[in-house]
Amino acid sequence: MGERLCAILQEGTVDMENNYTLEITDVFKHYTQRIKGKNRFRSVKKTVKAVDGISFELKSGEIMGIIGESGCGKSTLAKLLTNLEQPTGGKILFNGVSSEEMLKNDRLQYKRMIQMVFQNPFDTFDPRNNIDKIIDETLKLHSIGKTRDERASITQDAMEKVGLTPVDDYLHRFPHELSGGQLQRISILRAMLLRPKFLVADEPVSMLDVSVRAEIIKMLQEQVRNLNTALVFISHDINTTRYISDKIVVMYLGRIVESGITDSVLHNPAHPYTKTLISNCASIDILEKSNPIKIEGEPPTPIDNGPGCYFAPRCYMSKDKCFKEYPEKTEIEQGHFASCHFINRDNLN
Amino acid sequence: MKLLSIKNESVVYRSKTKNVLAVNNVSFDIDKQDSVGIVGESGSGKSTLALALLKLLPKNADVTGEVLFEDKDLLKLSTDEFNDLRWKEISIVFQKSMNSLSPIHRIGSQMADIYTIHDGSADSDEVKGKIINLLEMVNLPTRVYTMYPHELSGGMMQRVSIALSLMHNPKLIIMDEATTALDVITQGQILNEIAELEKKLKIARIMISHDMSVVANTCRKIAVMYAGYLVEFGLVEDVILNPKHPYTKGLLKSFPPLKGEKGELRSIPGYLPDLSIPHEGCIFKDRCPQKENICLYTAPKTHIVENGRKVMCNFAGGDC
Repeated sequence: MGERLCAILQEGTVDMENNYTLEITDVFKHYTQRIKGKNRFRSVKKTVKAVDGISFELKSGEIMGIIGESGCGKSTLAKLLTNLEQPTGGKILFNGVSSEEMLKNDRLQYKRMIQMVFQNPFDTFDPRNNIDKIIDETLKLHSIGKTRDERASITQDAMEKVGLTPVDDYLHRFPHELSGGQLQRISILRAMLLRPKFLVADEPVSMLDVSVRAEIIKMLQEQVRNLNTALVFISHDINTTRYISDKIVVMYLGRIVESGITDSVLHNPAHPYTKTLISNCASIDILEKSNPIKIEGEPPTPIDNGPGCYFAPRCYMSKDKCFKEYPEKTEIEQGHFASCHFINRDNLN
Repeated sequence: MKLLSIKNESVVYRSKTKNVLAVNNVSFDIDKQDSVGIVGESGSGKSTLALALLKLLPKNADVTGEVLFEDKDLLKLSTDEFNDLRWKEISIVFQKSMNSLSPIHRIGSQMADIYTIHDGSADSDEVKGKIINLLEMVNLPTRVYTMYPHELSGGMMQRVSIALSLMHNPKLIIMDEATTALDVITQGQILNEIAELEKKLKIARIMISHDMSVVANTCRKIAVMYAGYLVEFGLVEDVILNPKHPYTKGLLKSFPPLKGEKGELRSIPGYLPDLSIPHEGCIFKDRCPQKENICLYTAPKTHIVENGRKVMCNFAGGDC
């Protein structure tokens, strides 16, 4: 991108340090739900624990993948990070400053620091605005570029960089005139134009065709690497997550059951849930004989979990102990953690 | 033993301003108890092909060619004759069962409704027994009988749809992206169940999916479609291990592996061509990495290679 653009972008940001961390400590998000009680005329209040005590750390330039079945709280976590939902408890710290404090001081700056790419590119944009207006408005809101012309040239540069050429052709089109892959690229571009320090991508390729998926993944990777942005990549597609991420986190019913370096987790899974997920993942290598681990049912709604391990009712190796207490987080190798009673075999008896 | 044989089937959607050639001269056969997976990106005509078999296309679609199902030409049957075939001989499972089930009727009553339409003589107890049987067959608890669709999860609804399709012991089931919207584990569970039921009930299956891995794991044959053409057809082992058409190669490369080297992820550049404009030469020429001059002007013929395998590429025959 042009030098001028860099200068413009730098003006708006407060600190341009290259190293920053996102620290999440024990974040909760509980919703209350009224459900039918024993007395048919009175409903009972229940707490749905969508995100139930999650902690992790993310450094600039890292790509973290979050995998899990639907209903495990992946998307709620994404909303908490981008402040689309307020956490019930716990702290989200950016470089040691809590999100609440930052929001109080400067809402816009917070929003600019952490951007999001959504799942469905067709619903992401206002259908009445053309691409030009969509990008221009974002830039205007965050006061990047003083005049319309300046902003237009920023847009032009950025679009050219990601290969959406001829640019004029795209600028005057409306979202419905573009394909999913093109829209998703514009969505990523719009987020990255603000130079966010963190980017949250919630299933960015699940709505797209297989043939364009690779392109989007590559673009996302490139953009993030160039600007040293930290990326949280949420997906239920394990293959894609493996391809893009450095670290991986496996979630089940609002809790992290396993985390670590991507290949260490996927090639040497310790938690039975991770093992099940991986063994059920279809592979195109038909020579490889796979024996999927079969488990019953689907994840329940996270109401009244525990006191034992949340996965125990579906687990193929659960014992009495699993139903009584929640397993501690144990380190298996360096940086590879899992919460299961079976990791230390002595624990069992 | 052939169950269904599609010969030179073409589908054209006609509108005031243009005619879109959605399926172009597709022919292949399905044996009894066979399973064929159709893959391709969206807009390649997979669903149109399947819906044309069942005559479910809108009125502006013209279907030509021949579809022989046990020596009857499906395209020549009248609506009444065809209604006798639906569910009893051929049934279909749609992608979004939340949209195909009625939200205001209980699962039991809507299933009974379909049952009695095709078998008027059954009394209600018999129907109920049969339906509960079906629900058990797809691993659903019997209480589902009195539940509404909104009370079920995605996986359960998909199972209801599969139970519906099995109702009258069809010989052929068409699954149009039946497991696409589901989670990995649920998808694995359902695919396993389907494979078991297939063996037990001796049915043939056409599986439409854009997920190569699903087809690779559950089907015997694979048909790759691009822009309305059948570009490659053959046994799964042959096609996956030794793809001959550049489009199949591209599709396989855009799939990241779970084990081993990460390698480079490659996508197929470009987009589907506009199917309303007649084109010259190979349909894939604009996106093909190995195109040569001949591809620009000569439309490739379908070459038949070993094991009944078909490849539509200028370089696929022995003559390259």
